[in-house]
Amino acid sequence: MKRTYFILVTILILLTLGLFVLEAREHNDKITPVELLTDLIENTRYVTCDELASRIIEGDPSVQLVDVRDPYDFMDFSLPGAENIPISDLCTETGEELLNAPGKDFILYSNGDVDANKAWMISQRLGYNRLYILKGGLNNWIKTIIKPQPPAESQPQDAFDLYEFRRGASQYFTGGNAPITTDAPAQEINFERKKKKSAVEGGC
Amino acid sequence: MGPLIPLGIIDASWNNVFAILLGIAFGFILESSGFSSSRKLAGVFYGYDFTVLKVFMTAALTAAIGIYYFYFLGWIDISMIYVNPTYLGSAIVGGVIMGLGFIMGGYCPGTSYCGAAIGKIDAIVYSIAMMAGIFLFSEFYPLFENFYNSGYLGNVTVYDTLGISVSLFMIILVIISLAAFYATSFIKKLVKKVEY
Repeated sequence: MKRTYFILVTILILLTLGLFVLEAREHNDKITPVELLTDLIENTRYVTCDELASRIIEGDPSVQLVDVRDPYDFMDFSLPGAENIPISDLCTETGEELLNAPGKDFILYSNGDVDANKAWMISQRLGYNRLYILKGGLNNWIKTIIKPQPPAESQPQDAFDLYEFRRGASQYFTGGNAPITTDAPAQEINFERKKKKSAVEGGC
Repeated sequence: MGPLIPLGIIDASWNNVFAILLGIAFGFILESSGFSSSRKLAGVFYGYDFTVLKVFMTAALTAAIGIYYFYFLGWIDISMIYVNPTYLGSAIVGGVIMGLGFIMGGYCPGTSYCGAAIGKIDAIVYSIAMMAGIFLFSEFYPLFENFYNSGYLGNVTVYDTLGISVSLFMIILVIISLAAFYATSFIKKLVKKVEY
């Protein structure tokens, strides 16, 4: 009887000590607030519209665009190859499946920066890697890539090169039938619209 | 992965089925451990039988350690585990009332049903009295309402309040419990043996 007690007490204490080991390990897996803050302050998470446009045009297979807006907005207009995961669906299986895909750079975008940043923070906290944000969102995309403004005469050559690139990109993304020049009359721009048959399902 | 029902892995309608199955198992084990005897239960207050203390402390420790193993191994989401909210004022008074009832009647709520189930008359009286108490409390609830909600601290845990890690708290709790078990063996020797 005495011996049984002794063995049981030893097991209980050993199991409790085991918690210390596991707890220490657990803390290493998580992103600490300090790490998150560092990531937030460093602006390495941003991808500019020009970088993104050139990567899409070059057919970079690692680009995975993630639209974090509502399914309604997503159906209205989205970037080519984008998948729609509204912020509310980030924690569901739909989000898990996409963001766990190997070898992809996930570029989150919304209309501006705010929602994409929210989604970035949540995804970061969920432990996903290779997350980026489209700087300025779709608003900036339209302004710089779809409707580029010509630089002033006094600008350096770089600005003209960039403008040329943007004009090319604009043709690429608008179907190639809308050469935008300063002297040509304003033409209607045909966005590439992604038609979805059904709304994205998800949510728990 | 878990908790299974809040995460929707098992449908919420199974809640009552599990409650009944666990209740039956709990009652069976209580009865077979002799917890349907009011003398055995009251023994903890008179110092001749400390089974109640040992069993319930061990059960609490096993469950607590087990839950944190599950959490640290990533099997459950600890944030979804329900932590009973603390109402300091009513908890203290409620504890005293419950303790007095326990000494006088020799049962706690669960064991009174256990005793009633095997036909013990004192347990049946106790169960009926408990129901009457619940009824009276509900009827006079508006009178007690302010006090009932007093000292609200939220869903707090001891280790958060003390600012220590879970593991440290667990080891302290285990040591205190083992020391208490050991100390009770001395008290038991000092007190006159009671046959029941």
